[in-house]
Amino acid sequence: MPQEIKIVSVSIPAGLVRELDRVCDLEHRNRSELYREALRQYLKLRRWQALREYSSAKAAAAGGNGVDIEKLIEELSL
Amino acid sequence: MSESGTERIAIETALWLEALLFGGTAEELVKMSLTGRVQLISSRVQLDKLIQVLRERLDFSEAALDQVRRFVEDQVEIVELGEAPAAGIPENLPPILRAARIGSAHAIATTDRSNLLSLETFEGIPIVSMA
Repeated sequence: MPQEIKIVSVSIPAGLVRELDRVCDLEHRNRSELYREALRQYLKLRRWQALREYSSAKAAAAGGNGVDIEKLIEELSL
Repeated sequence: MSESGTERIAIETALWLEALLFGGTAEELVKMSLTGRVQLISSRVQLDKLIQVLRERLDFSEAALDQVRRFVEDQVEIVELGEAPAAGIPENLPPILRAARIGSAHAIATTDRSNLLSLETFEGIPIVSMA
């Protein structure tokens, strides 16, 4: 099923638009494609950072409870 | 490197754990996959093992486990190890090696503690430490 597309209007500094347009030319892509990709990467990075924060906190808590994290990683290493 | 310029890297389960818990070089590899510079390869059995360890040893909530699973599934090419016998790959090989073969990996990424490092290569695929 084709994805629903919404047209949105955003404000972007002119200098940034010029820089992005140069990338569009270099990569033979249109603005929409490039902006979509940039947004997807940003959202993925946010998801990853949230997982990292949660995981670090869990590692600290587990370490405090006597779990040897280094040994755990060693166990998973072949 | 592949014709498309994207390296295909089979990633060890322990490396995911290291990236999540400590960041460092292992995390850099994950971030490279976010920008499409590398394509990570794994298998269902490896992902299940990661989830099991996070649940049973590190007390991750079910919601967090779901987030991890979805992130990995979005970011990684999951190969089916069931194809191994048909491809002439011995079933007793570790999942990461089977995944590397089936997924046509250019490299196998492990932690610096991995015994695989002593092999240096597996069927011509370099084995490298990313931690």
